[in-house]
Amino acid sequence: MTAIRATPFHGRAAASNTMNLWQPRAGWTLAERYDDANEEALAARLTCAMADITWRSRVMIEGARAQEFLARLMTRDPAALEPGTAFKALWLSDHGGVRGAGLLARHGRETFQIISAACDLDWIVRGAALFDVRVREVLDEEGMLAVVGPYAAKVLEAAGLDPALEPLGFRKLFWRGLDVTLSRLGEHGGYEIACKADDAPLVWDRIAKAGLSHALKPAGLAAMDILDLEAGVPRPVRDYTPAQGGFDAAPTPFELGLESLIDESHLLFNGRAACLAAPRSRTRVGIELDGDAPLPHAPLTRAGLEVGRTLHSLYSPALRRAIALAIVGNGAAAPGTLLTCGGVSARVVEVPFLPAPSA
Amino acid sequence: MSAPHDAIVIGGGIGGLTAAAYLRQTGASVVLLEADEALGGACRKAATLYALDPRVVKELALTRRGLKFAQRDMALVALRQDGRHLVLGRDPHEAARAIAAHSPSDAAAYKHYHSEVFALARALRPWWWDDAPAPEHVPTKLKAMSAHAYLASHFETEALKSALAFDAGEPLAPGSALALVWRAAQEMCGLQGAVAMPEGGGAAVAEALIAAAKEMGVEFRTRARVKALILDGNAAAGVALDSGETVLARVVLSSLSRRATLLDLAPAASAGFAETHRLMREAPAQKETFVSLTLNAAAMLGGAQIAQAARFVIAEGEPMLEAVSAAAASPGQYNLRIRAKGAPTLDAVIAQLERFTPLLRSRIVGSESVARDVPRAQLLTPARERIATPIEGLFLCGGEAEPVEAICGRAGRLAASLAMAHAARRKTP
Repeated sequence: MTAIRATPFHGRAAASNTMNLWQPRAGWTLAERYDDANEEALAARLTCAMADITWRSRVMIEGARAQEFLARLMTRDPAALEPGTAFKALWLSDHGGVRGAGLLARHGRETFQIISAACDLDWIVRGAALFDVRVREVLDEEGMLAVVGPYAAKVLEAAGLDPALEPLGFRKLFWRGLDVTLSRLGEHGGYEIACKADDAPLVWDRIAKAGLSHALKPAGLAAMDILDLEAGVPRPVRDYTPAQGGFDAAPTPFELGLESLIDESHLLFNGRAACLAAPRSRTRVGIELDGDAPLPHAPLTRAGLEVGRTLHSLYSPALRRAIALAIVGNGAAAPGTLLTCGGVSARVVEVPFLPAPSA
Repeated sequence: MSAPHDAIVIGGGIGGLTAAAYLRQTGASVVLLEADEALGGACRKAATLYALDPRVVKELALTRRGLKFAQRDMALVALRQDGRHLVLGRDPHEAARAIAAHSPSDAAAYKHYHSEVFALARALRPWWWDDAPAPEHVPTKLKAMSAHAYLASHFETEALKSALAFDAGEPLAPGSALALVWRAAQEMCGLQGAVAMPEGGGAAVAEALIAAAKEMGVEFRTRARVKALILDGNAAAGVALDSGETVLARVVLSSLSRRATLLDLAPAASAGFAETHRLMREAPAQKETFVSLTLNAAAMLGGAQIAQAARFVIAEGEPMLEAVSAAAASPGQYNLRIRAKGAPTLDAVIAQLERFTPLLRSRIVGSESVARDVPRAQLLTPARERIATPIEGLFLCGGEAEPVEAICGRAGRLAASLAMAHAARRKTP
């Protein structure tokens, strides 16, 4: 068994973690919450929050044929991707099952980075071997801190970082003696700062100091999960089990509502034929509930008949009610459809549940 | 760059020739690319036929084009060191009498075995012969059983078991029991499960097929080794030759193995990441060796009492082999054609034969030995999965697209019809 790693921000996080609550994720130990998860989530919506997101899988892809490999791997063609920008994409098994979803960032002509919530290193490494492309997982050597909220740009400015950056863009910066990469790749409209592990405490301190006047709070995993779900994007592992085998046909991009990440004019990608031919009888929707958040896979019924099942659900402090993602039959997918979940009434609503915090 | 054809066939073996002829028959313009100088491939080395599809013979008029049979139904003779050879002909009762000399219980079991295998063969024939839905009643036991275990469940005599197991390809492999059934599902000269010898051996089939394809207007290009497959998106668009030339067509049929076609010819990972890795991990193929011996005196395998219209199987000791006497090129000479399992040396083959025909070595005036790969049997894979590939418009038509690799032509015939159906679908979106 592999040991649980501490992120480069661990020392600072431990100092702020008054509850001493930790949670393992993707092989890292992270603060579950520093104080109150709901307050942290609200801070990200109303003022500003920073969160350690070093746990995200970051994989560097380098080589002369890296673009060719990624064109085969990803549901969108990286040929059009400019250095310093990224796009969201999926990668599928041979039979069209979703193996992973994330961001593909282009660092240079032959250098790319895949950032995702769940690592799929084996698949990427074995695929890359066919193209003589090098794959390297970014682990302890780099920390990543997210700054989210309406005041995120102001906090960065106060800390001496130029926040002018398009969404899905990133830029390498020299920040008062530190080499950092500033990016806007998250779903929550905020920023991410990637830095060397040794510089991590300094980065934390600078942002925390600059954030003092903007009511910045450190946010734990629980608060970030609330923001994630409010954004309505299904996450691998938390919301669905990605395809494990190379020939798995489930889950399909359509039932996860990820079909917008597929570029049908991209002719090469793995699993294309199977995925386009897959049945589209179910889709992913957002559900608001009048009671407590149900467990995953709770049945959703209409007139006594099961029409679908929930995925992850939790209490949204901003909406003041429980919300859930669910996969339902197309007949029950229209916003406003009334359903029942374990005796509690539920409604199908549009996703995202809420717009991104800084919008 | 040459003018685009409707279809390209890679490889001029039995599968490629059949596919090309059938494609041409539907009106498609077809070019057949053969890496070698001569067409026919491995099929030229074989002496006997046991699986040639009678529909191919009839539909391509191979008999009119020179295919003649010297022997229509050759008995199996299991040669034994002690001289008590076992002769198994078509008549199960006669065979049972021959077996009774060794073991009365095996004689009784043989009739039962024979009728069981032949009945199963008739039931499974559509599954192996056509693009038919999966048969409902394949005994689960047979799907996983080796031929060796299946025969052991019927018989006690080692000689009988090993002689019958010779026809199962790899008799110890799981599922090879069905290979025995597959052999019984074949038809030569109208006889179920027969082994026939054409005049001129397997080469005669090749010649008749070449004549048929030529007459129909298939364009042949020999010494045209295909280097790479050209794709348009994920659809076949043509091939690039070693010479640097490209030949374009929207339908490509390959008589190479699935592995060679998808790993060596197609661009990296175009079969899919998982499929590519599955193919890379695939166990290497089995070997078999064709040996042809030219003798200056007749070789009396098994002694003079046995009619020469038989195939002789030596299943005791290594290498296991099957030998038949064929017509020699010049008078006063005799030809012995041997198919040995594995890749034994010529010397080992001769030594094995000499145990039954003393002084064989001194009579040899010429010899030839060719080893080749035999793809694994895929007896439970549906025809479509054996023939279609993850690349649109690319189909397999060679030995590996058959349930059991043989001079058969069935995969070529089926691949041509699947390819034309694909082309028709593409034209009317």
